[in-house]
Amino acid sequence: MTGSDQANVAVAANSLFKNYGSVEALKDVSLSINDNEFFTLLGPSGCGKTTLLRIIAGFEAITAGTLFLHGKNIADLPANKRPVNTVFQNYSLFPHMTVADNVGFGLEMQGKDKQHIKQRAGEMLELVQLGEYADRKPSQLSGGQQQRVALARALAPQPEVLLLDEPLSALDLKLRKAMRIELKQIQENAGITFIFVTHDQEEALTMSDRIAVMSQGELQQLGTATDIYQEPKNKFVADFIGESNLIASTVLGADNNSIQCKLTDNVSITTPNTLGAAPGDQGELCIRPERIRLSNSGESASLEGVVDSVMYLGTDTQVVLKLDDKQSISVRTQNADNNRAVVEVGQRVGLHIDESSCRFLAG
Amino acid sequence: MSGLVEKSSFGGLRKPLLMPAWVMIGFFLIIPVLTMLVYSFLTKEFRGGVIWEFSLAAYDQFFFDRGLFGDEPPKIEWTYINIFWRSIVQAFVATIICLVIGFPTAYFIATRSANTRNIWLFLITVPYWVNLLIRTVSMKFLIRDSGPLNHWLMQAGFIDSPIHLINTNFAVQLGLFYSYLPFMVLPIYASVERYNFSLSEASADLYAGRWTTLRRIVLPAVKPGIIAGCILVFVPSLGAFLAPDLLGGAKNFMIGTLIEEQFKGASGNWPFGAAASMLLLSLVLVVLLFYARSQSKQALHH
Repeated sequence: MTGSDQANVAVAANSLFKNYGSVEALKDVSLSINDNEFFTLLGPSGCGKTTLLRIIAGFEAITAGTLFLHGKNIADLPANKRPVNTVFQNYSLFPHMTVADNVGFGLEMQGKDKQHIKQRAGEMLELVQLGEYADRKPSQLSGGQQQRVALARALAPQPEVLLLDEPLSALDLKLRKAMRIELKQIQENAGITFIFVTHDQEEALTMSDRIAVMSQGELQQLGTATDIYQEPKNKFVADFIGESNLIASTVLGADNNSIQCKLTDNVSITTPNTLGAAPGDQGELCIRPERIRLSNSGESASLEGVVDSVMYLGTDTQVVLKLDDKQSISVRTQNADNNRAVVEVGQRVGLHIDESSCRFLAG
Repeated sequence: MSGLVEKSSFGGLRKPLLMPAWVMIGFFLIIPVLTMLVYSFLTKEFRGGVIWEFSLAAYDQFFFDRGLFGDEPPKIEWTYINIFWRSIVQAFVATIICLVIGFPTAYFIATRSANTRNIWLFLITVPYWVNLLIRTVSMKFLIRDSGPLNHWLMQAGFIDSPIHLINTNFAVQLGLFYSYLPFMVLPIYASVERYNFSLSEASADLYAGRWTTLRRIVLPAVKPGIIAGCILVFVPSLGAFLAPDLLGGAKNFMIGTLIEEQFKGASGNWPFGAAASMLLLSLVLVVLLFYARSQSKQALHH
């Protein structure tokens, strides 16, 4: 990943370690983030994503490893000397300054002249549609407006990389969804690399060019939204991104292209061999609930189960079934027409699994 | 704002519940101050005490010199005005010293981990468990010409002859500083503790150095604590009498000592002491009014 095209790499981290006393917050994290990329660090709380962001910002020192920004070693550079800006989770707007002074603060510290600061702050506020709020104090704004001011403030000095620490988490759902689109547009228009930290997988999937999934201080998988959803590398990623049925399984037979995995005692599934599994490997079979179709008429099915519960969710219906070996499996069917009650609790139905979408995860 | 809540939650019990506070304020604030005010306009009795006869003599004596027998044309009497002025300067300098030492101390304590903070705060307050008089006398003992401080400095070879500290302005400053430092540290600590340190990170993130962050972001945020600390040090320093009396000697007379003398023994002059107290009180009130005005102006801005 490193070295292939240095000019286009914005941030390159190599074997980063971060310890707090005996706690390992980051363990051997290596990644490179490209110019103009919307890059997301995704993971549950305590996974190290915020630590990594704070290390790039310069608020935390690294225990071991190297960190480069556009080819320049920044590991020992203090935060105020790094050409990166942060949008903080709780905005951290300066309460005693007006909105315009907040937005102009970074430029002022860079020693820009007053005229330029005023003009640029005005432009930034227009960009986030808060032009007429320039003279207000942050406390006079709503949460969503404060969030925009924080964004304008961080963008104003034209940083090489913009860091966003769960900036949408304090907003309500509707506003959050609107801001996602807006953030993505701003990123594309400004042509600045965004590093976005979130624990919300939907946020990550909708906005990001690439996503780094983290857990317990380690990088689990790095790839596009499609990659990490369709080709999860391990159980954690499969479980964390979207819903999945993870069923204990054994590899029965394998060649370069496909593997046969045990599903139940007499049913096996043939899946692509993307992770190089060998016969006898123990692990889990990842089956996405929306890749299973149910049939309740006479259609023959290799796998059958009894409906345990049916939950109507608006766009789709979630059905939980018990297989013959008491294994639970969850299925999602789209409510694309008016036939609401597809199945009923207690009914025996056939399951048709899209085998090519299943993955065997060793572990 | 919160008046509505208070009224509805206690209903008719509001007045009786406020009684203890009113009684306290009445007995310990209003009555003593009124007594002083009345006494300052009475005629002095030569063996202490007053004669109940209206007179402006006390205020006259403070500001004007009419000669030994009171029959010369009035000239401005600078003695007491100078004492007042010196007191204001002393209290001001003591406040500045307390601020310069107290702010970093408070900042240091507030940035420690939660459990060590309490230890530091405890250590700050420990000396104040001892009576102020004893502490001031101890300081006199420590810094006198043949005291331990000079002894140690001579033993260590820093000086050849003792530094004369006692009965100097410096000694008074030291005494005032030592007496009132916690009044500076505690309110500043309280405001620094409430300060959101991610603001400092935001400032550093936007290319501000440490000193700029302190000046532009931290200080404005903790200003209320600093002002409270300054008032809490300035006001008692202005009226202090132990430190100037014990450490300053006759040359470094301050208002507190002047007032104290008027009520001590048979040589006192109660109306004069009362008048000086009223003038001191007015001065303090002016300072506090300025503070209140600046606060309400700020509140208006928000």
